[in-house]
Amino acid sequence: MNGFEKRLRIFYSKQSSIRFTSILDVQKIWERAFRRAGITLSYSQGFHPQAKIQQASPLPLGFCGDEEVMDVWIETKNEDSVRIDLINPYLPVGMVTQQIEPIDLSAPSLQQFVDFSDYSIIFLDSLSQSALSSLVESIQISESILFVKHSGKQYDLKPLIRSISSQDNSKKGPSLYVSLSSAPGATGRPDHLLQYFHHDPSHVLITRKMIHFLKYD
Amino acid sequence: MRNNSITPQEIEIFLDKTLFNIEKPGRYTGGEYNQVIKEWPSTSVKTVLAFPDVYEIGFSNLGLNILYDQVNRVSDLLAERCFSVWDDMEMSMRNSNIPLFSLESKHPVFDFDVVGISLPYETLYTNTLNLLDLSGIPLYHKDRSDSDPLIVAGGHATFNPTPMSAFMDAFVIGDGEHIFLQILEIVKERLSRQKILEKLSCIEGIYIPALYDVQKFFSSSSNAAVPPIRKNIVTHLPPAPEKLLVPNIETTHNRIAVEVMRGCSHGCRFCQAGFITRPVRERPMQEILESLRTTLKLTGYDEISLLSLSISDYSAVQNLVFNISSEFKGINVNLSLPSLRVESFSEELMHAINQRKGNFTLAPESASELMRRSINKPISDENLLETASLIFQKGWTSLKLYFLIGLPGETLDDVFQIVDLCRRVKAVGKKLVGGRVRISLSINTFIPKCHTPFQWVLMDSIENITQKHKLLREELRNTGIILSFPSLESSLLEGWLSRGDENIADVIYSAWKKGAKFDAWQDRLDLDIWKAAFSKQGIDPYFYSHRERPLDENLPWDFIDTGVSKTYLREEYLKSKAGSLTSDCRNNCQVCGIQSSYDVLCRDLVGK
Repeated sequence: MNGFEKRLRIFYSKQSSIRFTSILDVQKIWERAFRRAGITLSYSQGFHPQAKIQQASPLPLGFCGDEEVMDVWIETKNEDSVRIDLINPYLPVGMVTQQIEPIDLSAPSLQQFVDFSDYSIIFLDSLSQSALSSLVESIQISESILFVKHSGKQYDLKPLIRSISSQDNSKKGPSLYVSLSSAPGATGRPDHLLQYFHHDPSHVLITRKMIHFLKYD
Repeated sequence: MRNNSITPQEIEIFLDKTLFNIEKPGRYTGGEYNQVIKEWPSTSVKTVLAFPDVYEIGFSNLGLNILYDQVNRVSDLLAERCFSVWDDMEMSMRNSNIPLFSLESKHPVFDFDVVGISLPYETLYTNTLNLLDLSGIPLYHKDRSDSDPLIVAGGHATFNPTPMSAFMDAFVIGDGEHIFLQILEIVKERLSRQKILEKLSCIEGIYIPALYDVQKFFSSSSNAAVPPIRKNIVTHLPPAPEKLLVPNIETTHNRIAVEVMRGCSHGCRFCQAGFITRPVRERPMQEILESLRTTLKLTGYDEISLLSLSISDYSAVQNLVFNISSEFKGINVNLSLPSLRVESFSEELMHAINQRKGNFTLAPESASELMRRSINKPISDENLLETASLIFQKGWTSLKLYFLIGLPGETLDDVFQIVDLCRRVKAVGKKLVGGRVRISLSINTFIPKCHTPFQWVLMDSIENITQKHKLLREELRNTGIILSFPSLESSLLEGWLSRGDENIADVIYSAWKKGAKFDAWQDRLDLDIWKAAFSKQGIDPYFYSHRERPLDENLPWDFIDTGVSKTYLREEYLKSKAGSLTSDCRNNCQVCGIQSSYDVLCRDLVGK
């Protein structure tokens, strides 16, 4: 390396049709965007060097994200900061960088501090306010919400729900707001919650509004 | 029933409500970096380029990318893309009465003026019908009206256009770059379908099935009455596309592919591409390097692939590879080369590559002296072993070898020699790199293709092929050599379709009706459907594949003139039977006919 290494925390949004690109492919998109922008990423050592990009919490396929978070390590020759306008023109439609913060190289990894995520769920087919209210009530009164994943593994969503509420947004139609744990090993998915209560997740638009992190020193 | 009033907005809404439950939804969204979206209403001619297989397969197709670039460079023309959709998506679309749409603007395919279909191989034929049907476009050209788009096909498979001629309005035979733009210019005049076809039929390289009398071509004594359709060539390769699309999902080739050279001068007698893409045209080295610099910046790709039928024949190959390696290595860009000819391999080239990543691929094709002479690809075992040794010495550990079985006159002993040779290659590797050596052997089944010296010969019998597969499997068991070959079924189908005549059209139609789709996918091909379709039309498929054709027989593709004369192909066929060789024509013209056909001097088209 000719210069020195820098670590950046990047907040970005992922909207519209690019929500159908998986997290692995998003990684590739970032690598190429940085190359186009002329920013050199750091690579891991070893036989198969990988670009050093760490997503805080993978966004499931099909979800939008208003404020996704990742750390990237770059090689740079000068102290100049990397600006948003140096990256955004190189991203595909639907992805926009919101904020870039320099982070101490020795700071702990993002993933271990992920706590929970807020989601908004917009129903694309009209759903009456009363139906929505009764859905919220059903979720609230359930003692457990046991969901069987594709892998065959069953998990209980109920203890993972931090909060839930409904809102009749006249512009977007009735929406559900739910906060679910995203901690490693204890991640609840809003689409599973819907499926459990017999709502087709393809008929809603799920957006992760924000990821909450535990405080660290 | 076609829903003519459907709008792109309605298609977007359908996608919003459907894709969550669809496998690999990124196939259907478009939105790739460098995608071109033009103002729909103000663009006078609109074309959609279609590749009749799934997105990941078609995305990097060179022809499609070249045309996408060329058309979109012209201000009042637009080109968008569409691909075949997988079963789950097709079912959702048909259930909701949603027609096939373009990835860019989400307009239904039937809203475009021209549909350009890429047909590089024959096993895409049923997908082509399905693509048209899902678009709500009548399958047979005779059933289309002025309100339907013009359906144009091109690609290597169209060098025998007859099996698909009932379905296509026009075929572009040969290089499509300039000719496709010409087609769009004619469509711009807004004439009736009939008038457009008449005008198109006057352009060299375009075959209009509705207007060309194939029967008359065969019955007339001279070419003057009904001249053949002569393939189109560009004498200089047009600029390589630089603003290449960058996918948002994984595709089969995630890299920059720059065409370094078109055509091949070796004349291997089994190789259709080598004959139909003559003459050899090289792209100047500086142009390649300049194009790579720009494309790397515009795409962010980290791999470069040099495309050509025989890369080591490129005049400045060492300089080119050296320049690429030294210029781009510093920015973590890898270079991948297509399969190499053994005899033109050199230590200098190895040195120039200067990286140790990935596979090395060599294509000896056959292992016995007799077969090598027959196919006109003379290399020696010593040469191959030396090359392999050089590759291992330089630090590579995996080597892939391409061979053909089922060649005319081939015996089990010839196949055994493949096994023997691979074992020797492996031993060389083991000595040099130890246990890390990895040899993979890719065996293809020979299919006698049109416009080659082997167009008259028959395919090897099912019994023989089965026996040869068995021999390979048994002899290579426990050797650590990885063996792969296509299924017998897919080779048979390719043989039937590529050698077929006009009677095949209804077979293709009825196979598609019975559910044949994705025939290029080995796990999807159902040969029983095809056998039933042949039998329904009262046709014996083996009539096409397993019958030696007399030299004076009219072949269904004879009215397509590749510039290489039939007399030359016949001479080559006879030479093959006699085991006599024809040298590389780069320095020693063999008078195949290409120079006189196009009034060009081959030596002027390649680099100095």
